[in-house]
Amino acid sequence: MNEIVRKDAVRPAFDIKDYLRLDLMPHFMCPGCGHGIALRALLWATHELGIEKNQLAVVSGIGCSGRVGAYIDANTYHTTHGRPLAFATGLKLARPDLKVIVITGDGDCLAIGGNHLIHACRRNLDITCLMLNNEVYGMTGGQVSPTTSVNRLTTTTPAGNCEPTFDACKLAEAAGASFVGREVTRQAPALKNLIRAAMEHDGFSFVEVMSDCTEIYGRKNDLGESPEMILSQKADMRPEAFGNVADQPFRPNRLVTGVLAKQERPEYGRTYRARAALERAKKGR
Amino acid sequence: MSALETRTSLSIVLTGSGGAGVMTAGQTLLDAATSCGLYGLMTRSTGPQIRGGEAAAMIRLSTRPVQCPGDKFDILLALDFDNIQRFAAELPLDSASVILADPAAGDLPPFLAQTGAAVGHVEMKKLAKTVPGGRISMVALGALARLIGLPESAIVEAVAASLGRKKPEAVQASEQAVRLGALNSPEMKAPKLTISAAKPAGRWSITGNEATGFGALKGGVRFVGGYPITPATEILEWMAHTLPQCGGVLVQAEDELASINMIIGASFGGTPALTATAGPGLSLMIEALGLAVAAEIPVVVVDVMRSGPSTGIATKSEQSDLNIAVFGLHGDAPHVVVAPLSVSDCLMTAQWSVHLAETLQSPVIMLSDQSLGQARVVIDRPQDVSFETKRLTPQAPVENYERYALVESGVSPMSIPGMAGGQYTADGLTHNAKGTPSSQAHDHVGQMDKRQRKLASFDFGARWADVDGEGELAVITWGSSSEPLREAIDIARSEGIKVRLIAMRLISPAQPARLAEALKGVKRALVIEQSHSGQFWRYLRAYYDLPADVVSIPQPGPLPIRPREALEYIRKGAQA
Ligand SMILES: Cc1ncc(C[n+]2csc(CCOP(=O)(O)OP(=O)(O)O)c2C)c(N)n1
Ligand code: SF4
Ligand SMILES: [Mg+2]
Repeated sequence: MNEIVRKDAVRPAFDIKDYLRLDLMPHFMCPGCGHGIALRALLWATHELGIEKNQLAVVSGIGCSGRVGAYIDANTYHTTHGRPLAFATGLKLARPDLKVIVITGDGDCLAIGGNHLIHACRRNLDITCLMLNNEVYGMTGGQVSPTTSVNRLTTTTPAGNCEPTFDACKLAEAAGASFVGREVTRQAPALKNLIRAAMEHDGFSFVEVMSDCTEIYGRKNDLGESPEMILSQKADMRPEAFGNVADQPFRPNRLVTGVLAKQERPEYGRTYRARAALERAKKGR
Repeated sequence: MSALETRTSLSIVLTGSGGAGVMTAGQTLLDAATSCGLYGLMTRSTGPQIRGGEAAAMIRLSTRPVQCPGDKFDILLALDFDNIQRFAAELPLDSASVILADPAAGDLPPFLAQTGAAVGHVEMKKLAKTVPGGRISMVALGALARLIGLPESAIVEAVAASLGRKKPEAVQASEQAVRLGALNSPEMKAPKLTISAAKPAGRWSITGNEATGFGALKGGVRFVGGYPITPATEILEWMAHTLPQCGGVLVQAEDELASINMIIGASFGGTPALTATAGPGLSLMIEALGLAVAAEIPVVVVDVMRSGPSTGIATKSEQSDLNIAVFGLHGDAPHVVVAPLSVSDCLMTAQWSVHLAETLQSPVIMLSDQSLGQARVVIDRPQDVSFETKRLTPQAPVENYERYALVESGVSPMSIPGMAGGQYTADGLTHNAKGTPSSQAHDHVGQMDKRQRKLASFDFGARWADVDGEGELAVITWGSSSEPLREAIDIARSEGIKVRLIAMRLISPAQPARLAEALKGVKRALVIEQSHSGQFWRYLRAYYDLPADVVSIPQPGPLPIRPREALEYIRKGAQA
């Protein structure tokens, strides 16, 4: 069961402005950055689910992805690099009534925060984690990340990246996430639907959003301007785009989008509270 | 010639919004001035946007070497006024300043109008449009060059050098734009540069972070494990290019816990190793630094400080990691903390850090900061320094090896994996001379004494501080605050004020005998630093005997300490 507070009245059409802190505009993002599309999709899903802004808690890490959270007119917390899942775990256990969303980046979530990710997946607390994967450390100016494709140029791989690439969805699934999905920013409505499904899921949900860092990663690798980068997402979704993946075992299979794994597992917060209630009953308190 | 026309130093700030090419233009100006025999400094400031946000390139040009920002800007070259108010506090101007702007940019923002600076107009946008491929910033540079007496050809050559010969059309467009700007430069009174025709040989244009990387490389570092963080990332980026060419390895770790442990591992293996980070990263490294102290593994950690705590202001400077660097480790954990005194001093101090780490088998924390690391200076080629850096290893054949033998110097021979008979356990557990875990009081105290002794008995030599001058008034400072104070003291002396400067490069271990010597005859000391809580002053009070009359002058970041402000402190300090 989801502890979402729904508005009773018939909902007006989605207007992103209702959910943003407009006094913070203009925002920090570069022109064409994919993170903005992800933000919109999240707010759109929130709107469709009828979640009140004061019942929504958005916890983000450090990175361009992390900065996105603070534009939302909700209970937002911009934490430290890599730790938003740990913060969110504390928040959700202390306040099960809140809808807790984590926004993190590929570096934030898989590098410095990798440990927290696998444990969050394992625990299965009702948190939705959106990992905005732009294959790079955008905020610090374009260093290699655990999801940077092989041979790509970054400032710390001047001769091309030669580290194998993580498939975050496989990782999350293997670690026990009860909902795993992937979507590209090119398909905004599909992305919204996936995020909505993740938010409706009871348990830990992990959504990998294939985003684009136009200004730094795009430029450095000659991937074109924002429209070209977005269009190329489609090419990435065609089988032939994969070439020979046999020697790249960890390369994310970007071909596959949508819900990749879903299983019913007891939500940790509820399990914990039930056990505590049982103990209290035993001791007659 | 009037004082206005010949200047030893001229400060210019270029501002503009995203995509205006402010940073590139700033670099071009610096390069052009350098080719005309000038020294210079360039610092940068950006808004909250990642890329494409408003930016300011702050340049100081001089006939003498300059390594810190001046008191105010003589010229503001504004490509537009969008969001310029975000830089208001960083742009000191006065009625003698000149603002060069595009009339199309609209009215002068009030904070600029209030300065009383004279305004000259150039139709930058309009003129740029008349040249195919012409850029506004190039028109602006042309106008500026004419105004300050910098030959336009120097600008054009600098553009050509940076674009390479590959893009002749772009160079041609720039040339046209520059000439057009020069032709349309306003007729107005403005400070002029003193330039020489001959391009001086052997000058370097280098940032503090590049100098740090180079110094470390010269010191022998061949392994770098790092995790990107502003404003230290350039050290890693420089190393990512350079190390593989020198037979070294750079690995970008998954976080700072990994990077510090990676370098400890590499160093255990016998390879001098370094990481570079900023405050949040240093915080994460602290646990493993304790291990390096206990296991006596040499490593260098460069902390390029930024305003904290937490994410703070990632792009702005502050000397506020002194406490964590000196006191942050748990347990009694003697280690070395040093700080470069200027942008160019990053070179020697990094090299020295490697030397100290290797010689003393100890972690060394080097406290650089954003104002040093991300500033570019044009300097004379620094003198080559060399240290005899050698890690003390056991003599073969190694028998009954005791890694942590209680030798008098405290520095016991450290075996490198592969040495026959030299196998041992490097352990964070309290251990005996062999390295075997022990909870015995005498082992704990014996090893503690040993680690303390190796630092206490080591002769750090004259590099511990730059001490200069005489008189009953002393200014005590450290790290990046030293340069503005040097300038202030030069002026104070020219006014007849007798003042000493003690700029500390070695922060820990403390050198009480040396400071006592440097302070002989001093009646009053001013302690000037860039922190909110006076960390350095508190540190001095804890470890040193100071004169009875000590004035603590902490100035928090992110604004730089300006020479003129420091001069006021000194003037006041000189009064009875
Ligand atoms: C402990 C610590 N280390 C390093 C940093 C510097 N840092 C800020 S954001 C970032 C990486 C961001 O990359 P990612 O998570 O992929 O987000 P993006 O900017 O690409 O959205 C890093 C390394 C930090 N803030 N804290
Ligand atoms: S640097 Fe990249 S990820 Fe960050 S805002 Fe710009 S485009 Fe987006
Ligand atoms: Mg990223």
